[in-house]
Amino acid sequence: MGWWTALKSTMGTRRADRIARVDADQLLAGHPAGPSHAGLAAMLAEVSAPPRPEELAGEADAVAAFRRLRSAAPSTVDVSTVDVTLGGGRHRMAWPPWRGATLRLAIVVLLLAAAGTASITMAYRPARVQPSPTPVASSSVPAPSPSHPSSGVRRTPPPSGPATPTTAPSPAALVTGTTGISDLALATQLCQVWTAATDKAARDLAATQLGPLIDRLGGPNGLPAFCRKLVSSDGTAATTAAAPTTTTAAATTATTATTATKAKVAKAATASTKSNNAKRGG
Amino acid sequence: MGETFGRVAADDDAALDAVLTAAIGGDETAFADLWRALQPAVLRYLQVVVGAAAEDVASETWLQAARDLSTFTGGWTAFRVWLFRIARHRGMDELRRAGRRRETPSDLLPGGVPVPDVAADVLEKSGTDWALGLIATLPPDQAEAVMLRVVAGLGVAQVAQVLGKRPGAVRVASMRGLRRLGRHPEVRARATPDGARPDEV
Repeated sequence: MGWWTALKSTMGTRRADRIARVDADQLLAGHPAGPSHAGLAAMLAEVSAPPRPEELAGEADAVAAFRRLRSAAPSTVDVSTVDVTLGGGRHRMAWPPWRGATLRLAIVVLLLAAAGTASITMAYRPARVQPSPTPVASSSVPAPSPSHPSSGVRRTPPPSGPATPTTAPSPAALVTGTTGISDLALATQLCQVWTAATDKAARDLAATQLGPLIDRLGGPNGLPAFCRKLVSSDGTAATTAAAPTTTTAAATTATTATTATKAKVAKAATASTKSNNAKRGG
Repeated sequence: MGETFGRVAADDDAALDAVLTAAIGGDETAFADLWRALQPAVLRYLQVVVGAAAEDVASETWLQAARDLSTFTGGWTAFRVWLFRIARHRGMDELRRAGRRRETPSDLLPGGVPVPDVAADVLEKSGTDWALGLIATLPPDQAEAVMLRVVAGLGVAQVAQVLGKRPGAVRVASMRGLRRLGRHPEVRARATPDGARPDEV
């Protein structure tokens, strides 16, 4: 039976050396796992021993690289090599600069389209439905001059006094109908943008917002005269002074908003001009 | 591994979270603390993965981490997963550059490919190098699982994230790695009462 005893001894030894799952978890977590695994525990302790000086030798270089990268503009980071999701951390993807510019331009166009649509929709609402808190003083807005229907260059001097009511519909009436002054102010600001625009692209952009109104004017040829009546020669809104005091706040808000719109359109026009110049130059 | 790293205790996760947040915000001192806290572990892990190129690959790892840190969101544990995953990717790149013809560590032969640069001279070096050399003789998936559990201090789920495996596979790989190490004569001899290494017995 010597062989049987030897076999049992061998099997028993192997069983004692075999690492149970619980022991493995203990060892991997750095906890003691019993005397039968002392050698393994000692070896793993060596692996996770405190750092040696040579392992911390490159700190200055690493920090210098960090400083160099941080001092560079974020847009210079090559985002094509960035892992979007790494491990448990959520990793934000930085957008390249051109996408930001495109997004800003798209937002400007959408805002203009929304503002224009809302304005024209309000203007065309039936009078009996649309409340009219303040009657628009149409007498303060000169009627379109039939003698210069399509003169987009010539500027009409501002009216020196109260205009004489005429049978032709005034710009205010065309724009607002019985709506509030804020719609008129918006149309006025768009007219200012259209009048002040020196670039075709910007002018077209503003004209797009005035599209339904252009239709009502009988075509784009009517827009210059219309805008001349709304906008004085120095670029200020002729109707602003006529705004009733009860709606001053609304008009001011609309004017502020559309002034920002004007600036954005002018910026887009500048960019478009530069682009066109570049194309011509190239 | 170690008790403190610079100003921060190694087991103070709240403080390390604060350091991480400061580093993400661009604080150089905080980044230095991060580096001191994790560089030894990254270096040892890469010694097992890529051998003698470990220092270069560790530098590449930190370069990418420094570049992309501003876009990282997450806590200390997530950051360690993120960093070791970067280290692993850069290690794989290094292996491809070295022409070792493997895309993932699991593609290795069952016996594993030893890292001669480490294994050849570990016995002449410290106990840490000796232990790293032994682990480097394991099949790569087992070696990586053991290293990430022991050195990086990651749990099974986090190691699975780093390796792109399921937690069960990580658990099996680390278990097999430990069993293989436990049968190694040098490790068994390590259990002698005086604790001497086999070559010293």
